[in-house]
Amino acid sequence: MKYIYTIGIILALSSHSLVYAQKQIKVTGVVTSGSSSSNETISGVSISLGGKAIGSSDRYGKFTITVPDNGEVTFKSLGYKTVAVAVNNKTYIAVTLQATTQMLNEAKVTSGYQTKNRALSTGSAVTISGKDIQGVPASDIMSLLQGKVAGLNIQNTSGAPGVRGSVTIRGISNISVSGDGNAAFLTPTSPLYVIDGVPVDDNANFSYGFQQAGPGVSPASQIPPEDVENITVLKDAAATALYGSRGAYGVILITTKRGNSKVPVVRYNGSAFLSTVPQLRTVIGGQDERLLRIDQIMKYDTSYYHALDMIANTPFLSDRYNPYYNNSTDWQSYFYKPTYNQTHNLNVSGGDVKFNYKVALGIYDETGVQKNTGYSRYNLNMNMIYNPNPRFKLEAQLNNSIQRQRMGSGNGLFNTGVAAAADASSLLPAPTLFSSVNSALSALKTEDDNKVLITTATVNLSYDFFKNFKASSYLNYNGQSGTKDNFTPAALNNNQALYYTYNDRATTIYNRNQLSYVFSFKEDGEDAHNFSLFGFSELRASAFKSDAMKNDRVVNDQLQGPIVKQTGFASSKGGTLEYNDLRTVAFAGQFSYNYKQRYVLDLNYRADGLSTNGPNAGYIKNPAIAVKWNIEKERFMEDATWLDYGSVRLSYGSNISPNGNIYYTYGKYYGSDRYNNNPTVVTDLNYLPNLSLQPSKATTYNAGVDFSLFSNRFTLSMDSYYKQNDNIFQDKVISSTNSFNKIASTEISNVNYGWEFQVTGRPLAPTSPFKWTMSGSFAINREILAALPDGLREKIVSTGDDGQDIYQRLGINSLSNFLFNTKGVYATNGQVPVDPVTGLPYRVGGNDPLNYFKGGDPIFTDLDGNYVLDNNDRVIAGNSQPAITGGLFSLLQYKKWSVEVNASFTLKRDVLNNTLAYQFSRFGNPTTMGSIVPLSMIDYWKQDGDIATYGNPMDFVRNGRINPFRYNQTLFQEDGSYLKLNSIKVYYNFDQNLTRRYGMNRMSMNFSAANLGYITRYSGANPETVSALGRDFGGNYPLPKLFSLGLNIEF
Amino acid sequence: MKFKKITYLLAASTLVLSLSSCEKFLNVTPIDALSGNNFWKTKKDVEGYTNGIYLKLKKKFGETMLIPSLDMRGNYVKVVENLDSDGSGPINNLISNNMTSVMNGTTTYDNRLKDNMNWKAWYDVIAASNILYYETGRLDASDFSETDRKQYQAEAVFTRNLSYLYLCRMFGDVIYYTDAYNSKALPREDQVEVMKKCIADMQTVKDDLPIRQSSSNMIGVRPTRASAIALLMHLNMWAAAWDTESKEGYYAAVLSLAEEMATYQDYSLLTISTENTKRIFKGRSAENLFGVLQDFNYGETFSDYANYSFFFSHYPYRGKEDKTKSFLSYDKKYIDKLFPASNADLRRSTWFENISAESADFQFKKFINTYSKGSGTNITMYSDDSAIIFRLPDALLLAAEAAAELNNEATAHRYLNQVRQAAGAPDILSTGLTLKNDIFAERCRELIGEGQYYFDLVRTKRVIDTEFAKTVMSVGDFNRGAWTWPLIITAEERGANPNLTGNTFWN
Repeated sequence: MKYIYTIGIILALSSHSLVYAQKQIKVTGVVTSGSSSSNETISGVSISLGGKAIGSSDRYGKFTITVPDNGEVTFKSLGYKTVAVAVNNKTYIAVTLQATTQMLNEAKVTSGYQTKNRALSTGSAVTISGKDIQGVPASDIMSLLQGKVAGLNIQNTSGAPGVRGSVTIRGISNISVSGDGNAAFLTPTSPLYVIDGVPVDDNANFSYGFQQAGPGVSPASQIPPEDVENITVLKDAAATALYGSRGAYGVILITTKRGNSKVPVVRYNGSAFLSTVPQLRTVIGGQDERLLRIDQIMKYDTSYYHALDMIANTPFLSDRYNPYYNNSTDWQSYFYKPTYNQTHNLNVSGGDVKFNYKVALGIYDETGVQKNTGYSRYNLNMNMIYNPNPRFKLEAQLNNSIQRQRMGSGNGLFNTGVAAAADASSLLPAPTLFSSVNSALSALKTEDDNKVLITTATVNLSYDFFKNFKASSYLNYNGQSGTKDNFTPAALNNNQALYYTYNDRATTIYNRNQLSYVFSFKEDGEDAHNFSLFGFSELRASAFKSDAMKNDRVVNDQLQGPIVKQTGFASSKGGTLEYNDLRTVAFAGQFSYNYKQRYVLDLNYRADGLSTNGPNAGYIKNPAIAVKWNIEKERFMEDATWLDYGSVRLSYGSNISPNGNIYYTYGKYYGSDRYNNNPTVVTDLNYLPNLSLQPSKATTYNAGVDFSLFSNRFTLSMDSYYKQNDNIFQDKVISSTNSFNKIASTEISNVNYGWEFQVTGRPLAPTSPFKWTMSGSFAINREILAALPDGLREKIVSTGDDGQDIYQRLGINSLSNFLFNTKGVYATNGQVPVDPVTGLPYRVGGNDPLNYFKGGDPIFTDLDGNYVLDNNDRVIAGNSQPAITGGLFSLLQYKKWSVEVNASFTLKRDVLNNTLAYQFSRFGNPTTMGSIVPLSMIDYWKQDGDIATYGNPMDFVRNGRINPFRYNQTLFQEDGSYLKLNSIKVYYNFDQNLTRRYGMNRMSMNFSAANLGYITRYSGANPETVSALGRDFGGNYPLPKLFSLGLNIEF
Repeated sequence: MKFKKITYLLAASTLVLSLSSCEKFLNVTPIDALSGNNFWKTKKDVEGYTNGIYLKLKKKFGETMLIPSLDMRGNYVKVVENLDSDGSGPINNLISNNMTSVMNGTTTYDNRLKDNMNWKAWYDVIAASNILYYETGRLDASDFSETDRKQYQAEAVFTRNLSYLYLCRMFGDVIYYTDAYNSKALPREDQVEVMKKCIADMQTVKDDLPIRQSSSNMIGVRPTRASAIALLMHLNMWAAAWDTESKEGYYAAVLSLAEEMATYQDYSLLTISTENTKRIFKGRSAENLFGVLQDFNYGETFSDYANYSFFFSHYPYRGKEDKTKSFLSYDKKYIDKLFPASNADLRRSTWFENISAESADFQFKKFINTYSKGSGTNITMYSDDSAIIFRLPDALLLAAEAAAELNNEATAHRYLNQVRQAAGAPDILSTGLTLKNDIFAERCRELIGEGQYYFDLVRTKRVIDTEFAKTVMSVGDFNRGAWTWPLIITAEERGANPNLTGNTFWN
């Protein structure tokens, strides 16, 4: 972006124009920003007259120039529309510059390491200004983009501080599921992040945290929102073509702020915020819990005396005077509490075109609403640009951050420990070291400390050999080290403390050398046929290694080091968990042509060599082609002033993402036992070397329309896409006659297609004192499974004991739930169907009368008609992935006030309410301790003839057989659609005349509230904090409501 | 402008340099284990990998009950002393060919016998051999000559065909492939076809193997041309048993192989004596063609139950001082018929004690290399014998059998009596069917306890004959595959290979 701007300035400076002799007058004035939510003045605006620079605005946005009385002065600043003002003998000029957004024709769009103006950009890209995401404290900037970009689906699946939710662009790109039951998770396919021109991988192993081994911190979270200039989301292959390897899941470009004021500017942003505990589960406390259970046993046990016996043999029911059982403990209150937190950012920047710098210092500290959890981040980001002459430019950047995360006894994403503890019976005494609820203590007493240190250094050199021929080179180093220390006191681990320590190190060296050349053929004196050539080579080496030690015989709680005497060799565990070394080489080029900017053609080509590719796979070639027609540049549209711009885009292209590691490709060898007194080498039989291992490949077709009407009053962007993901990676079990267990296979394909709409409207007239901007995004995504390994047409993926299997069938969505179909509750015994052949009623399993269905049992569809409920009676039901996502945004400004409202929505998504299923199942065994929910809240069957939603949970004798509240039934599959009020922000700008008295250039205050609430039909706590597979269970970390008060000061 | 030229030159050369070093750059050397792209570089790698294949063979022969079970199934043996861990039942089932019970059983011995019903270990050898063949074919190293390449490839062919021989002899039709890194799910192939392919495969590279092993510790342990000949003879004999239409061809091939073997000077029969017995079954004598080594001195030992003596011997060859009973014994009627007291035969006196006791006093002394653990009264004796897969008498008797089948009785007598003379037994000069039966009996005598009995019984179809088999199979059962071992197919395997079918009779 800088580059073109710089060239523009230089060209403007060097052109010789005549200045006519007129009367020179002195003009003063101020430049303000017309579109920021705070109506600030702008410093460093370059002021030119007839193409010649004559001055710039000072730090307060003020200027004094000497100009001819009838001259026309041009005001130009990066990020704002250029404005020309006729002097007309005025001595004071107040200029308002409108900020450019991506919707405006003059906006620059960066993609493929190049910046072009909107008309020449052929890809599907959306840019969000940094201003739009500020004001709400967040440990991870991505969560702030929710609902802002059509096609970017962000679900804040966990409210744990520092844990990032799921981010997908245009549907899921991998269908592999690992883990069991509620912890089953979908292999994440996060987009590639390119931070200031340097790609940062987010899909690296262990960066997700919930793999338990180490701290999980997103690389994108090291940039505080306050330091973000803008974020661009690239969606189609034309935009991502040149990102080649790892561009397959979309690309997100993050540009941080630069200095652009001659006078050093010091900015401070800070806020204090309150995280509050959202609505938790309602449970029965104390005596009520006991009485409910006794009542249940008396009513439903097989006989009166058996029931009496059962109660008598269950101490917590019968021994009510025992102080141990005579409590009413609100367990949840021990784990959740509101917290006060803060964030501070200090930004110093200055300089001009020749030399500028920025230093940003940030602190973010958040204590989780769940005890013993939290996240803090300290960062120091610096950059510097040296541009002594138009041909040479040096840019250097240094980003450092320290991030610290505490996850209690959980693993970041889930906290099953707390879930189990909060589920303890209210009859038990509150947690102390002597109470028996270990999970509670472990959540409170486990010391968990995770630290991540990230250092990034980038140097970027560019040089113009001759006009329009430019060479540049990027060199980047990224070092990251993570540690995890987890200490479990002796009281929680059979009287011997447990110490787990982990450390990892990841380094990346990245180099890109690029050449670009632009030339034009003139027609009628103007540039008509414009060509540009751009090529680069890219080299990347990244290594990752993680080691861990576990000492489960620590002598006492005071000694937390791992170096203590072990009782035996088996009790000490340690070693390297993971080692990964990935290298890639790429060559890429782009040829662009346009005719008077009317017709644009882009041809991209990229070849990638990966160290993980099999020797038979070779270099992977990715071509892309895109065309664009800018209607407003046509001669016949010259008179259509109502149209600011209008264009049609078409693109096709492909991208890849590396798969596996070197062992999957070449096999792993190691020395084994000796034979005949000679050393032996054998192959690791876990993975059959796959010499043709291919990277995953995404091929996208995209058609788009953009237009803007009535001087930017209404803009619309529409995209329709078809994206095919091939070579999706998944382990495949192979025949044991091949000796190896598995092969890294790439035989799965899926297809995403959909439509995206991005609208902005400014309904009020420009003259109105109110300024109102509304925008909305709306994306429809359909996902379809296209190929399975070995030509299979369907497959059932088991995800553990709860039976919530996933059905994968070609032609429908990849992740369908496979469930028993529940169609209500039998009101009476008479409703239960009877097998006309045997005369036996519908039943589960054998002929025992207890197996027969009765009134109060759920009606499961008997799909195979054999009058026995078995696994063949399950149906394909629902889709765990959302079909429609989007958001709404409104900004209303009036004088010094502005109010911003953000909302996002997710529609057509099925969520499995496992929490509810679990709560029902708690009634199945009244002699086991545990919290229970008040039955009064539930519409359940109580007596013959009741028409109810839920069956009878009280009949515990038969519950074990009928299993009426089995997890895998459609009863617990609910509509997970929601509309969420993400945030409300209110800004107030203090009068600059007032603030200046105190030496402050600007000052504004803001109040914001985030995660305010949901409009949803979902009956559970929150339809968003569910796993990527749409499973809601008690282990999810609730999403806190945030209220913050912020202060922005500029000196 | 000079400066411009220099910068162009620099830019161009950087580009060229970066291009040429790409391959190197992309070759990653991990630090936590050896990856395939960094292996297969030197002769040492090949040798290590080859040893790895023998280690896999050792796992099959030395860590399972394979050889003892092959000699017990359907044989005239009986459990005379309760085996530890409830072993008597499964062993009795094995003797009476009651394999379904074994397959459904879960005791220690059921599980040990079930190792035979899982063929993966054989495919481990086959897959590794295929990889060895493929990778040595591509290897380019200064210390690796063309002769080396051929020899290692021939060894790979030997080990994979040895596995196919056992697979076919145990399961009939099997899955056959020779591709390295095979991942396809293949169906089973007719065993005659498999045998034909194996014969052709082994025949092509047989002469790439050395005539003799130069190093003494390789004798009998690493294959030579004679080992390949023995393997080929077995392959041919097994093929002849099923491809009855053209069996003469296979017999003729066996005879010509035997003639070739006779030209090699390094192999000779050892006269039966206690010393020679020890030498033979240690595995490195002039009689040994191929075996899997057990050597306590190297710290390379077998599982107890992989040794035949574990079942048929007691102290001082097996167990502690107080182990005075053998678990199993041969039936008196059978063993007396095999080794009549009236006939001179060094084997009867050297290899047995209380030969016709038919009780726990029976002592088998063929496998008497031992090592001991413990001290004082706590000394426990273990067998230190190798698993002998091919040895010269076996090959000679196959030749005799082939000659008899071709009615070339003079040749048959010559081969048969070579073996008998080494045992100090009188020559046999019978003819016709008697001669064939005599040759079979001689194989039973000479190779007793070496894992050949059941294969011979099936191969010669004597298993359906009441005169030769204790557990007689009906012709119908035999044809439906009652002679095979059941093949256990896991659910996972069914998913991974839908083409795979079980053994008709058992599964």
